[in-house]
Amino acid sequence: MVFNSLTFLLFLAISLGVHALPLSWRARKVNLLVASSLFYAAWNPLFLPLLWYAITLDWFLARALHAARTQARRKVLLGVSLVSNLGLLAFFKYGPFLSDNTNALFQALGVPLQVPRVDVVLPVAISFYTFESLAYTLDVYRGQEKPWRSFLDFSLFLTFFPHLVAGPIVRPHDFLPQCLEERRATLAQLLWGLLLLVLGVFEKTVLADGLLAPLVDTVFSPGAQPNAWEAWSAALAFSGQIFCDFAGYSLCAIGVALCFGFHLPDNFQSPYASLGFSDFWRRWHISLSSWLRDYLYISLGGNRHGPTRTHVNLMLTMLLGGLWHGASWTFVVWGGLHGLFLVAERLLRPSLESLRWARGPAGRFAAVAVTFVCVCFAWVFFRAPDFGTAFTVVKAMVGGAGTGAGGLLSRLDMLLAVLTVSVLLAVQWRYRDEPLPRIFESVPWWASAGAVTAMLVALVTATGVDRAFIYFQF
Amino acid sequence: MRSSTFSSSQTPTSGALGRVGWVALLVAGVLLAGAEWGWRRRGFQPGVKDTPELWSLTRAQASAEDGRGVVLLGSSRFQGGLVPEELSKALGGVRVLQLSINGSSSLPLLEDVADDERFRGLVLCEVSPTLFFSVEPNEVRTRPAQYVAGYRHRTFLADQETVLRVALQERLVLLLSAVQPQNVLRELLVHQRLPLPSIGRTLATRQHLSDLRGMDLKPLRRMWARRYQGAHGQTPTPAELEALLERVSSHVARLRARGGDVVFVRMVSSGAVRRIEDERYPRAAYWDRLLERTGSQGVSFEEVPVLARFECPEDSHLDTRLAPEFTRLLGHELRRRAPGAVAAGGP
Repeated sequence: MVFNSLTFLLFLAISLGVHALPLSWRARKVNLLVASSLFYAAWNPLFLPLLWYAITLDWFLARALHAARTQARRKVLLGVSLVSNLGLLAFFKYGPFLSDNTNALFQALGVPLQVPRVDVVLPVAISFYTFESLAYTLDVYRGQEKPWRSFLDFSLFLTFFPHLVAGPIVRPHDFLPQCLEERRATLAQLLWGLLLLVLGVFEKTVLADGLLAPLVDTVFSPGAQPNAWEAWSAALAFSGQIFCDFAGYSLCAIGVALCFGFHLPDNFQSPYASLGFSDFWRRWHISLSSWLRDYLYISLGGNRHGPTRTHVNLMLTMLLGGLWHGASWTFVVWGGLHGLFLVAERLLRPSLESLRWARGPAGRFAAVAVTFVCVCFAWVFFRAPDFGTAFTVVKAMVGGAGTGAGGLLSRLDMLLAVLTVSVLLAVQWRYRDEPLPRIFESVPWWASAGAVTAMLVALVTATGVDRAFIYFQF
Repeated sequence: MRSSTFSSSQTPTSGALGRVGWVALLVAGVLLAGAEWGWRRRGFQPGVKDTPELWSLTRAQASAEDGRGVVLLGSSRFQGGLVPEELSKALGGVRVLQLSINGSSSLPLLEDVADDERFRGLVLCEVSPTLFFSVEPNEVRTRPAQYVAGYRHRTFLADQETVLRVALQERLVLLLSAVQPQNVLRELLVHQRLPLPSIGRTLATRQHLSDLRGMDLKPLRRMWARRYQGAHGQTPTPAELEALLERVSSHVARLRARGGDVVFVRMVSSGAVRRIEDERYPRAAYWDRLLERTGSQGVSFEEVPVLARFECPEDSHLDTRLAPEFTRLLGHELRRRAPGAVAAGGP
């Protein structure tokens, strides 16, 4: 079930109705758990047991971890959790990738072996709930959290349908305490939640799918030969598409959760107005980047062992972060590029900070522009279905397209894409550090009403091809 | 490490939100109602999107209940030229389902219903020669095969979503692709005018209506002639034709074994398209052999005088306004020529 569907609207209305019944808090949490399981089973009920396996395993492991008397036993229990969670993720998500690459390696080395290809359907949401579940076990292992007493609360933490499928990746300490007190949305929360849902679906359906995706699909289709204008338009358009798609999903998730009285963490904060790459990762997919920082980068040693080790840790974190997005070398390259950007930024920062102009408005503008262009460039590898397509687009972007290239897009298509992304950039620049509620309060009510009206009209009339949210595949 | 921010906890006041929400709903409602009225005044009529999901939903009905009824497997000629309700009446009230797919061979669809043990009704299988006999792999075969694959992997939820969408699409002009904001904008910027009503629209029964009145038909005729000459795939070699006939025969035999039946139908074509079809796929070598090998009944428009008098304005498809009469006459011919097969469709 996707947020931009009529069945979801029906599901939401029924779930909200049930949540509003005068039942005990425990009964209403059970209702939410049942609703969340139905929401998940709507894709493929066969994967529901897998989700419940992860929930049950980490629940018991965390309790055993807390009760363990020796460090060795604690390590073994943590190992079981890591092997089980990451093993399932590796099997379902990376099985085909690993078997294909192993066979390619065998062939290159002349080893007469053939690993059978693992061909399985990827269970939706597995990347997200695996990280959430692992965060719980790791927090207990580190002594930062105690095992939660209620299995019901813990199950709801992992399955709560607004964040289940594509995040935000919620941390135990962010969600579990909310289960202690009865939660019912106030009128303001309900209205704001619905408004966020409208804004999120608008970003997804109208901007990402309606305006930007067709252009991106044309240029990134295998065999297409774009010219420089088309390649840059497509890269720009994809930067807008993926933001509107994913930030739109996150807004929907936050809005829907708020309708039930729950708060989910912010996942995006004007990422295209970032002053550098470390700033970008504090603003883009915040819940993932903070997870990678806390559980991977810091576990690897973070910046505590000198500059070289810090750079290696950064690269490793970003390479694995890239791989988390998909079982393909193009995602690894995308992660690697961001790792290089972060390392370069760390190396250049002292010199840049010594420049006076770099601290002024011109410097800030240059920092935003350079960051955005590099991020756009890296998106090419994220979007391209294979390296051949990626290199064709990159070649065109740097002016290396052949004489027969071009003719894929009309000027109007390119203009619309560039205009849409420009407006997006301008808004993010203007409201760089403002949270949405403050933006809402800072504009006159009639302007907000006008914007919401336009979104509602566009949503009703924009009934193009349905596309799944991009992050569902991760 | 507590690092998350929760801007949702800083909800604006309900007074401001309520005012914005109510005003936006009201104004949006007025604007949408006005747009609906305006587009209707300009000649637009509601129509559903003929998606693979709608096909799946219709296909599922074929296997429902006792599996009886009539299914129409063909291409746009069936979709535009046959009216399910009229055929149902002509055949005595049986359930008629339109499963044809635009620009597609009926062969993968025949294979699908033959594989389905729950279906045991009557198949009206369109034989548009360039589509039916062409050599695979080509688009006219892969498209219906994708529809079938989608049907087999569909979910309950996808069906419900389609039911809801179709219910709205068949009532609201606003949901037509042609009046989507980006298409209106494109039309305004490129042609400096508002979009014009489309010549075709699809009903929830998957019947396709097209209104060619006032259109210059010459370019359409040229386009169809080009397409029928080359774009539908290669003419089969004798061995390939033999294999195809063998395949079709086995499908027909399987259907008959469980009480179903197949009647092949050749729809009207005219002018250059008919000439091309007759030249590339001579009747004796293809149509007659198909009936002979499968032992099936067939109705070809050219051998039934009341059907042969129909003409296709653009050489390939019947005019929508003539479809009810054509369907009625075809129904009568089916009852006359193949009463046994019609009985397989049910009461």
